[in-house]
Amino acid sequence: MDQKLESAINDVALIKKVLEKTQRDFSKVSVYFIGIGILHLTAWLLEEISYFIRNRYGYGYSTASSFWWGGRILLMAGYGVLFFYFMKKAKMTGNEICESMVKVWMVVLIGSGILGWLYMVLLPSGNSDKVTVLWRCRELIEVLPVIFALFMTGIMTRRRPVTVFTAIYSIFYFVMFVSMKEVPYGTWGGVGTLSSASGVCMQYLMSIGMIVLGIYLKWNRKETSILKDFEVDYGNKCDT
Amino acid sequence: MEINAIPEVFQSKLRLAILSALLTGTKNFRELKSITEATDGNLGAQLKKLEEAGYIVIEKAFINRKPQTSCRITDFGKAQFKEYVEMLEGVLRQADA
Repeated sequence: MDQKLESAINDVALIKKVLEKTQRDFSKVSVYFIGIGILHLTAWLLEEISYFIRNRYGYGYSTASSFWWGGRILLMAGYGVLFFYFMKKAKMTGNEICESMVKVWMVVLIGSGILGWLYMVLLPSGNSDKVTVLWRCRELIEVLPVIFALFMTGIMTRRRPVTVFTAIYSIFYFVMFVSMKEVPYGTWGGVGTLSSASGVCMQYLMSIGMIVLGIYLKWNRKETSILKDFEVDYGNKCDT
Repeated sequence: MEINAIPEVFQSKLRLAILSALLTGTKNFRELKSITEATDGNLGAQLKKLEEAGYIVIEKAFINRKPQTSCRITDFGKAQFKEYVEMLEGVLRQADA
């Protein structure tokens, strides 16, 4: 082959490979997921404190509901802060996949938060079976978009374990949801209450699951050497 | 840009890789090292060369009391890179014909 042509093909391949690699590095945006996980853990902790106060001092105690609302407000405000910070970061790195991922997750988290709140406002009061069923269905507003976003994350980042995990989790979640199993919840300092097992499962996903996802994206960079295929004048010697 | 007059900057694969990486935005030394997997010395030498040629700007700052070197491609660097890619396209098109 003509030497000029071979060199041109090599250069084009190198440029393509570098650009692909810059688009595959999600280490910067991984902190975004860790942030979401920490936010949920903090909100969960505040909720548990709220239950602790209720268990100890009774349901009329207003500080208990302040902790619960504090957790919700912290979540929404935290999402906003994370979104603006990581959008700026993603734009700086020019990684379009990271940018899309930050946007998708923000729409999902803030959107489901607002819809969930609206649903609770519109939910009729009472203790009838219909109300109980409607009450149980509220968690689907949170879960379905999250499952969608997790699938999107797996597909966009081309990380098959994320997609496979999401598929397994979604099956597991829906089995739990349909089984209507209930587990004790908010048991610090007393008996607490009964909560759906699928709801608790979701808490674990949004806190520990998100932290694990962030760590996974941080450490699972595709470590393939770009320049090893192009050894024309590359080595660890200084090329001056 | 003519094939017989390719700027010296594009005659090194590492320099070409650095410029390609900087096309998608500012990168710090650590990121460039991770992308190119070059040694510190080699990468530093090539960055200096690119800066001297006016293709990139190197900025040094202290972030959280730690020195950080960030690099970005200049408008001149972008224009030269574009010209080089167009020249490569020309070579490949000629071979196809």
